[in-house]
Amino acid sequence: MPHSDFEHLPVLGAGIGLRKQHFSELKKTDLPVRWLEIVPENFMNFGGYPQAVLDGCARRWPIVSHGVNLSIGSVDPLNEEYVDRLRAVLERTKALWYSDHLCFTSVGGEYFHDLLPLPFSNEAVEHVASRVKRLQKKIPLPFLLENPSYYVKMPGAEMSEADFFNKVLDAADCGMLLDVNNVYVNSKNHGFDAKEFIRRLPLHRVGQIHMAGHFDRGDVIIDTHEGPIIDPVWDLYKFTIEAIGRPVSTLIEWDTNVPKLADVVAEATHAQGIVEKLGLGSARSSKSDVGPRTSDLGLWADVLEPSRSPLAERREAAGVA
Amino acid sequence: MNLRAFQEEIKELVFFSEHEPVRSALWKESSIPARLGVYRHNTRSNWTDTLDYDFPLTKKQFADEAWGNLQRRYFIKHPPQHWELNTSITPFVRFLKTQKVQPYIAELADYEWNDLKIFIDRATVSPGELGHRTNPTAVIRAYQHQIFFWVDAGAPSAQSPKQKPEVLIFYRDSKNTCHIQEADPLMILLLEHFKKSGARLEDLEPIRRRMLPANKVPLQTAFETLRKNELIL
Repeated sequence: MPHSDFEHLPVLGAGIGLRKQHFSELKKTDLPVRWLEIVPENFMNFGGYPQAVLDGCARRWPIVSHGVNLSIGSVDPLNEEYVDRLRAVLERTKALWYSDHLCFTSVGGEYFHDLLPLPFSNEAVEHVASRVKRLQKKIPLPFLLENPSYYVKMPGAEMSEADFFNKVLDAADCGMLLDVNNVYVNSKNHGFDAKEFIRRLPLHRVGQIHMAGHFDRGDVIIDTHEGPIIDPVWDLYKFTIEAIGRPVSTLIEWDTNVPKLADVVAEATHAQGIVEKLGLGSARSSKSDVGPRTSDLGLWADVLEPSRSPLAERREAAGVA
Repeated sequence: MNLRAFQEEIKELVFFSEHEPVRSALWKESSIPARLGVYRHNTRSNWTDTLDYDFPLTKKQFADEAWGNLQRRYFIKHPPQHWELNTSITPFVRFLKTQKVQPYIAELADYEWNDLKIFIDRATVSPGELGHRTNPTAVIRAYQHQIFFWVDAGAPSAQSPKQKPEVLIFYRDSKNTCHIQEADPLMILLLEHFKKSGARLEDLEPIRRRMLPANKVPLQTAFETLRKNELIL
């Protein structure tokens, strides 16, 4: 598939993120999980149980990857070790596409472990585009960039955020992961019209959508991926699908106070229902291997629950996978 | 300001530092935006939470303020240099040894670190097809205190571990179960021997006689025990 053909990415319906809180439940679930998005950093450096779970999931569901530390906007050289490890995970899971954020997460070889916004400048456009092109030579899968939430308008802007996105994606010839919740959060924090912003985005490049909850601190809304998705964000989702004019694979993100699997799947089902009501069809595939890969739970038989060392219970909370 | 200078400046503003900056070349006409505090908070709490989670029993040995100060000193000296959070705090155990803390606390941190390491080690643990070999996840650690039983009791801060040397082996088996057990000299000799490619049991007997002359345990028996436990594959 040409890198720019994002309108023809497989449409998987509404999926969920693979989180360690659901490892056990996923193994035996009969809930309508359509596909999984992984955070590759949770697996790239780990073997053992996390990797065994990932392998089991990849045998059962289509996998898409969403990274947090590619640091595509950093002035540092592209981290070759990171890219090699990422490619290995993508190959191992037969990921359909991969994404990361239009931001920087490191500088001088040191990592924020947070998503820092770039100035909306021509220098940043050229810098990111050249790095995406280099990346695409190393990993021949469709690549999408996500619009991040940002809390501070960085000095040095030479254009609007929407223009910045258009220029970066055109110059890099990559796709867009449109995070609808981030648009909502940014519109409230910076006082702009969310729908107008979405209309100005390169919607033909949107290959995936993110939906999530957030935390309203009063003085600022923070993109924490917690709590149920609020109605105004669902309304914006419906508007977005109508504006795009075709169904787009949608992912429900939970990262804080992650609820039980059924609650996350219920939100995915809700998203699915919105698309179906619009009469745009819920799923379309250009690949024969898309859709549940197998429902044979026996494939998971070798993924045993690990019994742990004396300190083991804390691993659940350790941020490990 | 070009992109490099911009990013370096943001790092100065967000990372832990001896003296918190209040002004910046990025906002010449005004003070730093209050919302930059969201990035400071997110960045720093992602780092400190990782220390909390990876070293919960070590943390327990400190009062909250002392632990917070230790974290701050650590991250000023060792900001994360890896894209994976747990890996990025690798220098912590080494750093702790340079601090004025009880030696057993540094040993406890080392214990917790190795406990994590074997859980996530990327090595594949499967029976060897080309002869026997030591489990690639196995780590041998020697401590001057009885850390194993102290940890088993929850490492109570009010009761320090006995000062008595112990040697522990940390490893993960092929079912992804993690183990920590005490090691004796013969076990260590066997594990060191089978780290070498093509090692044979019969080659070990003369070495054992020379290094452990008083040890009369049949080598084959000790070997079979380690095989059964998957310490030797």
